Amino acid sequence: MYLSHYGLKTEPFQLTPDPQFLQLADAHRSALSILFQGVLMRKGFLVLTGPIGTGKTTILHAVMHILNDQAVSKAKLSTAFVVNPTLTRDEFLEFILDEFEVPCPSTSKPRRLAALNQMLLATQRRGGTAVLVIDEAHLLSMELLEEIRLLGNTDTYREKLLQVVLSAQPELHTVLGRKELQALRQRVAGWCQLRPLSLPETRAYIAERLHVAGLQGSSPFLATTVEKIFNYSQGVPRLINLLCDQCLLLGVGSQRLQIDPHMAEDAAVNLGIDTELPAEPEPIPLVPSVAAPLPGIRTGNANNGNGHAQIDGFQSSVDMLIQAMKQRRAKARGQDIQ
Amino acid sequence: MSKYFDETQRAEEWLAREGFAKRQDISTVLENIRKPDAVEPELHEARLPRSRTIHVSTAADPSIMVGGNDSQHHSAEAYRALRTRLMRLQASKGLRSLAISSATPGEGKTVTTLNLGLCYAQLQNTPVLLIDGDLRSRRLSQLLSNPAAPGLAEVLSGEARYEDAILSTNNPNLFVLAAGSMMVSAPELLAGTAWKELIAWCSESFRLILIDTPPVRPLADFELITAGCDGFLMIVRAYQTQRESLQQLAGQIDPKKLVGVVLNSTQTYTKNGYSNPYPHKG
Repeated sequence: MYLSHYGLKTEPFQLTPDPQFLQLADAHRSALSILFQGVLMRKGFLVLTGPIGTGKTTILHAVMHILNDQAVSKAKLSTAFVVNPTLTRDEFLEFILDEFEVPCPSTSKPRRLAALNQMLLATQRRGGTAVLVIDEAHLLSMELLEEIRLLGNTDTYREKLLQVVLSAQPELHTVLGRKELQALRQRVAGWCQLRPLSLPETRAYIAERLHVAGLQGSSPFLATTVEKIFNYSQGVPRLINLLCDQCLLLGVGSQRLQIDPHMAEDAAVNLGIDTELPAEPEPIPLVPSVAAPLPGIRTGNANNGNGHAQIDGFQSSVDMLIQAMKQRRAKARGQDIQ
Repeated sequence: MSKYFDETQRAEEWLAREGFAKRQDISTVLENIRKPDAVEPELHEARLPRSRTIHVSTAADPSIMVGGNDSQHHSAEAYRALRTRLMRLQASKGLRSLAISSATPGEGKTVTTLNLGLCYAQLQNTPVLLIDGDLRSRRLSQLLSNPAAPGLAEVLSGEARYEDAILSTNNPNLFVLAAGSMMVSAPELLAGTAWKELIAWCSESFRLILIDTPPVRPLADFELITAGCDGFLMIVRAYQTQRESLQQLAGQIDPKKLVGVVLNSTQTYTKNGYSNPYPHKG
């Protein structure tokens, strides 16, 4: 669309989690390192948490990409990637067997578990390991968490046979803090937390993305524009992507090569996220964190705030991000949401 | 059952066979991944295609640790500890640009800046930029044998482009922006938007920017410099810095931006009774 206008080879701010565009801020680098080491060293349970849009899924894909295709090409890793963990115990087991490509004609649980165990041992025996990745793990039911703990119990004397990576929003910390889940909590060998980017990291993020996308010469974003983008996005990479993409589109529309701060304002209005940090703290709506709407699910009243016609699913995701931002601001001011 | 288990290969054996170090740094792994199709240079390399190279040596001051990780040097361990703290801070707060200053002149700012930069530049994929922000005494530039212009003064007054003024060094990760040779009024230059724009540009391509800054007390430069930075480090020289000047300093600085304090030149005695600068951050 706008690639030739700016002299780019690929779209720099796509929303899909693409390991090619991995720009590592320090928190992300350390998370990637912990997950990578944890899986290779067969540490068992690893937990990755971060607020909405901070890049959890991107990091997961990057780790899997590194482990599978490049770094350990000869060592065979079996991976199962669970994206939607709202399943029953039986469905969950069935899903994992499918993902690991374990043929099991029987539907009885002992048979299935035995088949899974065989596969895990076989993987480890030929050198390699099995990884179970669960995205959106804060949505897991208590009984599934328990099931996962039991699955993770399979080990040899010395090492875990199944590496489990739980990726979740920070609520998972509260869930794992419960007394019933103490057994699981103690088994977690590595914790990593992602956070939104700081202003200099936002600068580096945008510059690096444009660089990887083939930009030659100076960045179309002025230093002051990046400040605006940072204020609107609060450093959340997903929102930075949306804003930058929108800015570049606006730039093409007005045939300009430089994106000034006003264009960032327009972009924020277009996206319905034009709530720059207010000078006066606005009243915080009481948002029970458990009842937060899921991305892509219609919330009914998601559109009443600003008059922009939006796709429902997209709008509600943006609403969630804004809510998360407000919560974070409130937290920074030391107020308690609950 | 145990016999069955024993046939599995341990992680170390497996990884060793695959040619992996036990504790492999993620930077190395990423480097390896990018290399096959990485015709593209890193961002900072792309931006500084023809930078002049200077040589960092101990000629000007014996306390410079050229090796960065030089275990022979008494204070190397202290600098590594400082580096680790700084990296942790970066991971939690996302800092990129740090001014290094002290209450009064002569407390060891410049040597700390240079040595910390050298130490940090030993890490993989971590381009570090040192800026001589002291346009009056230009100590950092002196330590680097006064590289020819242009430098910071020329950049801020619009006489030179960033890519012409930033120098590479014999350490591939270490870059320097010297003070330059123009005689200028420092506060006027630093007060303009050019300073903030420079730091913004540098934050895009360097993982750490250390700015050697004039002392806080007699001059206005410090405030102007830190206004564009993410934080600052204070150097305090043991047995020299006066309590009163520190107290006055405390009222003058923005505590939100204070990243830490380095206690410099504490006496540590070796077998020979040799004392050395031993920075410690608290």
